[in-house]
Amino acid sequence: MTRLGTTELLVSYSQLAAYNRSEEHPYSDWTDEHVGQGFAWREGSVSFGTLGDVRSLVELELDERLPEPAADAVRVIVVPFRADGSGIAVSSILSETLAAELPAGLYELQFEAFEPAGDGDGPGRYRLAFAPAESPAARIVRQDEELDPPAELVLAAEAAV
Amino acid sequence: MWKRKLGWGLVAMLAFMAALFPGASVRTEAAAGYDAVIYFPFDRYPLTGDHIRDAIADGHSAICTIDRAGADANRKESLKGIPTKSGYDRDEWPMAMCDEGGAGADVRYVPSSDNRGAGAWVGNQLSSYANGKRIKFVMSYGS
Repeated sequence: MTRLGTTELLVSYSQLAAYNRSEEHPYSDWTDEHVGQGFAWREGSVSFGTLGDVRSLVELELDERLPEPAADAVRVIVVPFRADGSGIAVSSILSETLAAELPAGLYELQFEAFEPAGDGDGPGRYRLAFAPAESPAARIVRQDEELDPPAELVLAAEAAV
Repeated sequence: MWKRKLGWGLVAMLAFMAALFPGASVRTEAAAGYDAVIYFPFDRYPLTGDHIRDAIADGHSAICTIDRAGADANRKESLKGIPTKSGYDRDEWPMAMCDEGGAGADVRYVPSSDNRGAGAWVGNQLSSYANGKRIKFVMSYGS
């Protein structure tokens, strides 16, 4: 496992986005189906729904294979990701940005969400892990009660511009 | 007569300066109390737009002075005692990442898809602005 970076950032508008740094408009519009499945995906950018709008620890890593989800992760989602070689960035709305290098290629990106500490006041914690994959596929590995995914996951979203 | 000549001279000089310094309009906006205006697309995010419009009508600021460092403390104040609600996000106006946000901000439950889209739009519009920039929000209809 290669740790690409770790930071604390403030989550706002209940979303955390991972995207190629070349994306001019990384944040996407959300439909009710996106909310239900916990993510809004398009090529080069994915926004994950979060467990609260609180300061959160974000861990970013690169693995040979996707790691086993942590036992205490309440939400685990895997999506395809095509890195264009411009680097990867993770941020929320008007937050700090965690940036790292990521070689161009096809990956699976695993998002793990952990319940915020205290009474939901935080801090929260999210782990994002990339692993190279020849045929990446979206799936919900573990869902909490907030998710209500459609029968078929929606892999289309529009930039919010 | 000499006053008229002086007047036209002044106009000509201002026109020349405007051509020389096209950013002069920004200074005009700064004099008005803000650095830039963004036009919020009400029709795309009507429920968040409704909240922003109502909050401003109630006397909250239409101007957001970007203050990322103060956002955490502002949110703790603005959302204190307001529980989460499934299917809804707690929308704050002024936003927590504005210097004008925090205690006393107006909070409304807004369906998550509308509010997250609105937040994404705001993020795409404002991410490049530095802390301290004053952004005026104006509702845009029919866009």
